Formats: sequence, structure tokens, C-alpha cells
Amino acid sequence: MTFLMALRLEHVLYSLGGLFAAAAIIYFAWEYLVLLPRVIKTALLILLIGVFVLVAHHLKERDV
Amino acid sequence: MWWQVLFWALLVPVLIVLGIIYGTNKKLYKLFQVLATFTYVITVAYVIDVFSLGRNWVLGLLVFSAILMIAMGYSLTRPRKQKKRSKAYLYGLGALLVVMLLLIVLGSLRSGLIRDEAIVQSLPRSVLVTEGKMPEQGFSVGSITYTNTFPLPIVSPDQYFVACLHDAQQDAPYYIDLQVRVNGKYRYEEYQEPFTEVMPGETKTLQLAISGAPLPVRPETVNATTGTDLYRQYDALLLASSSDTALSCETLVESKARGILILNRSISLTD
Repeated sequence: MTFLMALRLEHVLYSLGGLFAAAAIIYFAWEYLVLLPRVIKTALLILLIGVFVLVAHHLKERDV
Repeated sequence: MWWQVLFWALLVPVLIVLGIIYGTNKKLYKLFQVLATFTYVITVAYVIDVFSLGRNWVLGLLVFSAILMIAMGYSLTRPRKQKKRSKAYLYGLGALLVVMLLLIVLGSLRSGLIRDEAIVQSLPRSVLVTEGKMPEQGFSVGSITYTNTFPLPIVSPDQYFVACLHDAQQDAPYYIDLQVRVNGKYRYEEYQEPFTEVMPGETKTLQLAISGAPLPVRPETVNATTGTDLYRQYDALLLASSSDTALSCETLVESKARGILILNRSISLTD
């Protein structure tokens, strides 16, 4: 009960948002990415590494 | 496809590491650094596995990865001067996302893929029930030819195939083993298996054949007076292809099937 009372609405919404995002990514990979050629998949993976690196740099710059 | 095993094997430890890192530092950027490293490892595994790289390429990739990781580790531990905040990373991020979107759209285009289908119009019922041996290559029921005129590889929309004996009255489809050969090479054991991509300028022919020993047709009833097994009378052999993994005889209806092979005679067999 104390846990539920301490639960803040924004945290619930963040969690729901995260779950929806994860579901969207999994569904997208399952239905769409599977039909892409291997070369495109490899290029997407390499670009994804770049996306993570840039996000990390951006957050680090702001000390987040 | 061992890269998938590696992915799932690493996923749980990576999630635990992410939890620990965030719990101790409360810094989101460290999580993205770990995610980038994890994605890199999976990319290397994917490239080695899917493209079946030779040993020189594998060795080169491993050495490159070792040097890259050591250099990254070294640069992360080195103290840096505080830079002014810039939007360059955000612009770079936007550019990468746009390129990713373009690649997905390009990879999904199938306008350059020319499909030519040649399915036989009829099939003797005897093929399904005789005790005679089938040819080693199976009994051919047709072929589908794909030619890629697009400058990028294209994955065929027909990735799964199914063949079923269909009874219009009783609506009880019966699965038939179907061999799929690509350019003459036998590829798959199952009747539903993915088809590979067609490279630019390449022509790929899928030969479809009913495979194996004489195909069984289930006994429906036994006639007590004559001692004859009456076998279920199937009206047609349905042959269908789809990009959908859910393709099955149960969900297949005649209107959706391509190349319907009509079998007119009823079957009554004795021992």
C-alpha cells in the first residue's frame, strides 16, 4: 500500500511509454525488418551504433 | 543463425549491467554507451554469420574490433576538457535517423522484382496414392522465377509455401510435403521455409515439387461387406505462397490459392 501511495503518476506514464516503445520496436522488427535484405539490415545496425553513440555524447555533454 | 543465439544469450546480462550502471551512477549516457557496444558486438556476429565470411575476413574483423574497443576504452578513461554545448550531436542524430528511414523504404521496394509463375494445370491422382516410387526430385508441380532489376537486393514476398489436399464438401485439408529448390539446389526440409533474397541482376528459380514417398491419404471409413478401405476423396491440391508465417491449410481457401490442381477421380484402395 505504501508502495502504491509512493507511486507517482509520471513514473507510471514513463513506464507505459517505455513498454509501448519496446512493443513497437519488437513488432516493427518482426513484421518489417525481417523482409529487408541482409545488406540493408547490416547498414541499419551500423547506423544504430552511431545513433547510440551520438545520444550518449549528447547526454554526456549535458551530464545526464 | 548462431548470431541469434548470441543475441539472446547476451541480452539478459546486458540488461542486468544496464540496471547496475544506472543504479550506481544515475547517468543515462552510460546506458547508451553500453547499448552501443552491445549493438556493435551483435553487428559483428550478424555480419560473420549471415554473409558466411571467409577466415581472413573473420580474422580481420576480430582484430579491428579488438583495436576499436581498446581505443574506445582508452579514450573514455582520458580526462577531457569541458566543451561548450553544441547541437552538432542532435543534427548528426537527425541525419542518421533520416538515412535509416530511407534505407528501410528502399529495402521495402519490390518494384524491380519481376515474378514469373508456371504452375501445372492438372495432376494425376495416381501420383498421390500409387505404390510406385516417386522420382528423387519429387513430382514437379511448377516453378516461380524472380528477376531483380533493382540496384539493391530484394527479398521475395513469397517466403513460405504450403501445399494441401482440399475437400470442398468436408473441408478437411491435408498437408502435403512440398520440396522447394532454388536454382536446382535443394534447400529446405519443411513445406514452410523462408526464401532468400534476390541479388541485383540475378534470376532465381524456385522449383516446387511434391516430395518423398507415395503420399498418404487418410482412410475415411472401412466398408465391412467388401473389406475395402474407402479413402477420403479430395477434390484439389491447393498450392499457395505468402510472406505470412501463418499460412496454413486450415486458413487457406480456394480463392486465395494459386495454381489449383483438380483431381476428379474418387479413390478406393484395397490391400
